[in-house]
Amino acid sequence: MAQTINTAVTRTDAPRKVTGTATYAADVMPAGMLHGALATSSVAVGTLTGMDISKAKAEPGVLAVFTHDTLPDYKSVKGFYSGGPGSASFWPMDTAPVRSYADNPSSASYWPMEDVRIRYAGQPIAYVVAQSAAAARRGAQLIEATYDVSESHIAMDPEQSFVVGAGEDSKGMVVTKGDLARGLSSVAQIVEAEYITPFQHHNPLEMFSATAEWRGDRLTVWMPSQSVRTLRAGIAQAYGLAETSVRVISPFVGGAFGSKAGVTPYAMLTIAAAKAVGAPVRLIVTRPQMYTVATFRPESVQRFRLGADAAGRLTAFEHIEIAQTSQFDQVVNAGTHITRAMYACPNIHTEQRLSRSDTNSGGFMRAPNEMQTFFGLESAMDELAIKLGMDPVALRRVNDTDRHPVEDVPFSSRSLMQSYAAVADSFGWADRTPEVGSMTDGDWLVGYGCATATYPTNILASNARVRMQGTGQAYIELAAHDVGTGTYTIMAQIAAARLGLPVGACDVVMGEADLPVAPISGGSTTAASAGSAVHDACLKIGRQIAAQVSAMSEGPLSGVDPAGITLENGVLKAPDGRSQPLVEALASTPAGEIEVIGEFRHKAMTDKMIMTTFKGGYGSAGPVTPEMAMFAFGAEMVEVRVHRWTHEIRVPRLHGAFAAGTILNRKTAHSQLMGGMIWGIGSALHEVTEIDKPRARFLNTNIAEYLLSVNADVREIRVEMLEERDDYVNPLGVKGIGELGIVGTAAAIANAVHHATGTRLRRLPIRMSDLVGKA
Amino acid sequence: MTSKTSPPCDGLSRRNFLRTTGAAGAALGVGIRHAAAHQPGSGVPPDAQPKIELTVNGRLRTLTVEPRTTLVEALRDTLGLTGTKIGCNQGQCGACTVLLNGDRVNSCLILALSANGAEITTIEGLANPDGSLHPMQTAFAEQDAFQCGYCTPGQILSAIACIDEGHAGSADEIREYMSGNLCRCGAYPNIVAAVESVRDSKEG
Ligand code: FES
Ligand code: FES
Repeated sequence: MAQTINTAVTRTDAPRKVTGTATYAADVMPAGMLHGALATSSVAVGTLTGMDISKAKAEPGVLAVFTHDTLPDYKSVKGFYSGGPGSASFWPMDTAPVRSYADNPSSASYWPMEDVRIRYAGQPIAYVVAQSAAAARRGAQLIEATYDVSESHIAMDPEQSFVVGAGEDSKGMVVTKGDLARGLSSVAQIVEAEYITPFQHHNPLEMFSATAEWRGDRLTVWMPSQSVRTLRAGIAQAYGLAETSVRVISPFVGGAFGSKAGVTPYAMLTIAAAKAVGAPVRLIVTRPQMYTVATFRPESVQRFRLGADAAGRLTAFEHIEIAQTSQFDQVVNAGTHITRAMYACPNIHTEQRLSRSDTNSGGFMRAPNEMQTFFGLESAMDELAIKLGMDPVALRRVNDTDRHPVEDVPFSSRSLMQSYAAVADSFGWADRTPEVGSMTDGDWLVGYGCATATYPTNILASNARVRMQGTGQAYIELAAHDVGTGTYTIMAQIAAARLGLPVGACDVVMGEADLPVAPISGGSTTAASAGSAVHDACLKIGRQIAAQVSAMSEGPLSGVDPAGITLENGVLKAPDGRSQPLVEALASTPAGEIEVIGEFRHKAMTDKMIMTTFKGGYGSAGPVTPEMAMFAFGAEMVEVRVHRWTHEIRVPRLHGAFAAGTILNRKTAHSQLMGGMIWGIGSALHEVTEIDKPRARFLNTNIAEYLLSVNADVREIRVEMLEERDDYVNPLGVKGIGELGIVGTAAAIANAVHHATGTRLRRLPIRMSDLVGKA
Repeated sequence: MTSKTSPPCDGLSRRNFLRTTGAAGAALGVGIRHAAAHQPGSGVPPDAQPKIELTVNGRLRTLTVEPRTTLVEALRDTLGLTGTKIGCNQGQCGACTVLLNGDRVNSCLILALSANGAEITTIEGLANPDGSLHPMQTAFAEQDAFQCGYCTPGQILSAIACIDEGHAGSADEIREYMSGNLCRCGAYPNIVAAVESVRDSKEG
């Protein structure tokens, strides 16, 4: 039983998922439920001058049409987002260097349907309630709006960019160590280049939805969420309700990737509409509308200057990240905090900048700090290796470091080069000939590329309630989420291993805000943080039962000093060798049942971090604490084939090796890393939200024209998970893996395309057309 | 500058789609032309709404539908069979895949009216009455052929049809013929493995 951890356990929710009985938010239909639909603005910036809702109202089945004038309840929301947990910018943290974009942005957050202002294309302007979903959608289409249109733009303008925050808030946004100019003056080779990444949308397969039901002053909301407590906090605050009056329910989530983390306008509008019509209302946001009613990955420009001596040692490292943001938020995904942690270098300068344009606010999308920046950094490292005439893996090796280059603390564990060694072995890197175009197969130009992957270890306070019965059952309850990540299964595994029960005897209940506090499922936090709370609860059960049975007049542990009793793999053990299975010991107690709350608090967590997490915010200790830098590492190698005549680009093989501390479930972890790598293929070759620059709007707002990787795009993916022990990060030794797999993939592919063709492509996605006339 | 505009509607309307994809419509073998005569929003009063009969998972169901109701909405909202998922509502993702007279179809692209008289199999109808799973369901669970599970009902029905059609000859063929079912979680290699394992056990 002990061996439930670090094995391949089939998901405990698999039977429900393969039979269609897993209940996603929009599967719930409270009695008397009506259907909502949004009408959205067709212009980006301007003022509504009129709205004709008569046709919509006349549509059979339509019961109500709300505009900014007639949605009275929503008015009470006004101003709430000045500092609240808004959808666009709800990281209210200044706790750790990476999250130091404190208190800044939400003050200017903007919510639709407050008045006649239009600030981005696709902004909700009306809400229709009808008897059927089809009637509601049709009603929304029949609304005619007139606008006074002002000028608008979406165009990245590095010259107009500004440093994130202002004054104190800018702390950590510009970082200098050593003397960059001096570092640059004595180099053997310099790479100076700009890498560009596009707007991307999460596009979880489950569409956004919200269902609201009021009963007097009590409100229930079903909504797919990766942060039920954030959502509840925001709703309660907006409507002046006690948190205990608001239920937020989200047991299954059809993919999230960062898009379902916050309090979103479509949820608030639905709650308001349900209140106004006096009946439950369900809104399923249309796929095109999903592009503008939540967030996205902002476009970015990554400027790198890397200088190295003849041996390849970095002497100068400059990274300036310029990312898009809206007119009313400072959306910061601080990628420079991650890049500057990668390689040893005495002279470092990084800047985190923003450039505004007329869109809804972006947010975080899978590896929000890392995907874009590592496309830049790892492409630049490849360029540097070529200039130096070095093997790209060797260049990483010379610059590997066991201390954070800026913060000057050791890494709690860092297995970067072990990852390279493992992946080189499985991939056959030794077969690579370095000359461009030197590897061909008929009409196919073959290229091998590699890149570093990393992800910061974010740890947040968490609680968990575990109830165990002497009959051999356990119930684990916490407000964590399974967004496809296998959380239900790993929580059961942790409890099973500690309590000595089969995994199937451990029932896990999650996805409700009323359950014991657990952090947002974002930033790859859940296994490490919430898992550690479950672990703690189990140890507490052991201690309490040990105390009870040692005080009994008979029984195997009778009379033993309870302080000396340990719980090992579900067995209570005394120093003298006597022992008793925990479940037996529990059965012998008068209650025959026990319930405890486990807690995870890391010594590096400040009171403010803990408070922030309990309020629904993101109180991460890490990745850099006063003592340690906590990151997971990995390396990816890819074979790319480019057709000599058609320039078709294929990825027949993508291998990755990763070291992320303890792997709880080798099956679900494999799927997470593999899924991340497939996202990386998408980022490299497919995904881009195209923009109409002068009209400031997204163009391909669907999942046929926004290209997601399909089955035929994906061939051999190999994932290796290395053994790694890290006693500092948390008692389980777990680092996050949900986002690690995507980081580096795009650079590895771009590097392989260069190796195959000699064309260096510094803008994502890479398309056949980029190679025409070149390869 | 003042302009008068309607809010954008979904890029590709279902009606346009039906018009422009005659081949797909014909392949469904059901009364698309009849259905298309009822324009969405034509506003048939509820008492005049047509009744249809569907055999869903072996059980005959009679239901009243608005002419514009799609099959997926009839299954989910009227019959409460929420195992079938909606991922786009416009024929792009395959989440709504069901078997219609044995063929896999995107149920968001079919009007419920036009499916009148058809036999429909949804994810709820695959397991045996004793609860034992269809081999494809077991294979998906064992191969971890999903993460969030949202695409899974559609993938499983599509996978069953993929083998029945004889399109599971090789991994490459499976990849091609399963490419109409998007999986944002990226479970594709495991989906292929699940299809291969069921194919092999059938052959063996
Ligand atoms: S919901 Fe039918 S194809 Fe996407
Ligand atoms: S399992 Fe999530 S979309 Fe396929």
